[in-house]
Formats: sequence, structure tokens, C-alpha cells
Amino acid sequence: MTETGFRGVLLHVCIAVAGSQPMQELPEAHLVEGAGIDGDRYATGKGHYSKLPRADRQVTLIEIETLEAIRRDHHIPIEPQETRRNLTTRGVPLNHLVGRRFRVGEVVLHGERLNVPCKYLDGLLGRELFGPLTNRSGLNCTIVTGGVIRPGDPIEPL
Amino acid sequence: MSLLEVKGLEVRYGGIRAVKGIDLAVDEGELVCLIGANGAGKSSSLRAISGLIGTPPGALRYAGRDLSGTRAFQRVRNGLVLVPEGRGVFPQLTVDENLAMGAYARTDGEIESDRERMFGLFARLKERRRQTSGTLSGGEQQMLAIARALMSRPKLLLLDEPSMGLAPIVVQKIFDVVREINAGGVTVLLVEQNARLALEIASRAYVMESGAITLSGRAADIAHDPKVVEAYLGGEAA
Repeated sequence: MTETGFRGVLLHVCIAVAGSQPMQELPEAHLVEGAGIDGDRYATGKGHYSKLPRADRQVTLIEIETLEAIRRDHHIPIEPQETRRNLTTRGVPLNHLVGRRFRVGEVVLHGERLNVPCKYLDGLLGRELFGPLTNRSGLNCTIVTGGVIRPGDPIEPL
Repeated sequence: MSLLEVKGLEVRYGGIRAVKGIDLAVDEGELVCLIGANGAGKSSSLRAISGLIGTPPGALRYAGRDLSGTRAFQRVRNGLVLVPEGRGVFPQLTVDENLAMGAYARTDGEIESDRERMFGLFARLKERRRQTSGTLSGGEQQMLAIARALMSRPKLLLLDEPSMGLAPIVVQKIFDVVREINAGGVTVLLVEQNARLALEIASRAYVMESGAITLSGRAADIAHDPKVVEAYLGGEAA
């Protein structure tokens, strides 16, 4: 009964070389099983939270629908590369993927826990996003099967 | 007569209408779901119905009475109770204390027996009854949020994304209990982004997109609607 049906798409892939550094959008990225995204701060131990290492920071995702709603309902513009999340999705119910495996192109991810908003992002961007992102802050995942992903890749449950 | 009637409900943030004049109704004893993507306006609608958003434009009637001008706590006392998105338990209070808060407005002598009934529904809560709720797992917090709401003896339970962030085995337990609650006579309006799950347990459904209701009908029919199948069910027949 608990199956989650969806067919979504990957819109953006972003990494940052170190904590608080601007995120860069990539045309493709290499995800390494058990490690993270090649070049991203949480794969190299240079992230804002790397001093508290957790496997579930290998890849983070957020829904474009959340960003659209924040822009529409709260008049706060926020671009995918500003969210500090690695992947932006459309048509994927991220809040319902904890404990589940799903495919992004050739890569398999496992939903570990819901991401929670933090004041760090508000300070970094100078915008009050903590409230609007509550319960919609995305999903933290581990990489089960690595590979290369690109915007446009389909996202499907396994 | 419906237990809940909503006509032309709007929710505005600044000048923007996040909920654009929706109509919906829930009959006594029903389990109705409201499905849609993130940001569609589902939670805003539930918050407005439960009295947490001032006096929004539109008409709200509950048990035949006009709700305009009534505050959230008055609605709870009349049996219209919200289980909020993200659980909303009191993290520094114990499980027992959270349950007591659910019964805050009651003066009858059956509170203790209701608490035991909650422990029958959710055995894990009994094991954790003296633990502060902020230390519970997400699933246990969801169980507590539902049990706390039931302690107020609702006639209409508004459930906002009860499966959010929970592992599949916990989701199963939560939804078994939701069915059980409804079978016991409590009317349920369920908001869920997990459309497949919601459509499986509901008798009727509404689909919400960009602040408007775009489709409504029997849940079994909605589950086979081509647009719903494509947008919310992964392109497969449910």
C-alpha cells in the first residue's frame, strides 16, 4: 500500500567547492557511490557541516515546485543554485522518499532524511527563507549506485 | 447536509492568492483526500479551515454552523481538529503531557480511559510515555500528533501530510490507524502529496493545482483519470 508513484525529471545539478562558496551549475556530474558528487564540498570534506560528517549529505535535493511557491506566495525569489542543494527536481514528492530507493538517470539514490532549513542560508542570501522552507526543505540522500547524471534525466521510484 | 462545507475559500499572502476560491465538502463519516504537488495550496487550505489564518474570504460551515468569526480553539472545542504538517508536538513535554494538552478543553471523566485507548492504538507511545517528545523518532512523533488530536475527541480530523518523511513501514502503520479512526466514526479530511497512498484509502478526492481545485470525484475514478495518472501516479494505472 505504501508505494509512491511518480515520474519526475532532473532540472539542475549544482555543486560548491567549499562551504559558503557560490554554487555552480553543471551540465553533468559524476556521483560516486558512498562519497558524494565529484568536486562538491561534502565529497571533499570542505562543507559548512563537514566537521559533523554524515553519510546523508552525499547528495541533497529540492523540488522546483517549492521554489516556485516561495516566489509566488512570499515574493521571495530563489534560484536553484542559491538553495545550497545539489539537485533540483520537478514532479518528485521528495517528502515521501525517506527509506526508499529511486533512480536519477543511471544513478540510484536512497532517501535518508528530510532536510531542514537553517538560518545559515538566510544569512548567506540575506533573505528570510527559514519559515517558507519549513517542511519543504528537500531530501538528503546517500548514493547507492554511482554514475553520471545530467539535467533532463528521468527520476523514478524503484 | 455535509459536516464541512467550504465555498469560495481564499488564502492570500500579501496581494497574492495562494488559494483561489475553492469549494469542497466532506460528509459525516467520509474519508476524503486533497492531493496535489508541493505549493499547490493544500496546507494553506487546511490552516484556513482550522482557523489559523485570520478570517479568509469565503464561506466555511461546519456541522451546519457558520465558522466566520470563530477562533481556532473554539473550532477544536467543537470537534474540528488539525494534525499539522510536520507533527507540531511540544518537544520539551513528555508523551503523557502532550496527550494531556490534547484533552486541555475537556472536563469529562473519560480522559484517562481515552489515553489508554491511544496506547492501544499506538503501543510505542506507551513505551515512551515519560520520554520528552522531541527525542522521539519522526514516526513516533506523527503517532503522538494524531493521538494528541484524538484526545480532544474530534468529529472531523484534518490530517496534513501524515506520511511526510516517514519510512515505508511506519507509513503503513499510520495509514492503518487512519483507516481505523475513520471506521470508528471520525470523519477525515486528508491532505497528501503521496497521491497513490491517499487515493487508496479515501472514498472521495479533490485534486489541487496552483491554488485551485481542478478535479473532484470518487477516489477510484480519480485514480484512473489520465491527467492524475500522468501527473501524480508515475504514468501507471493505479
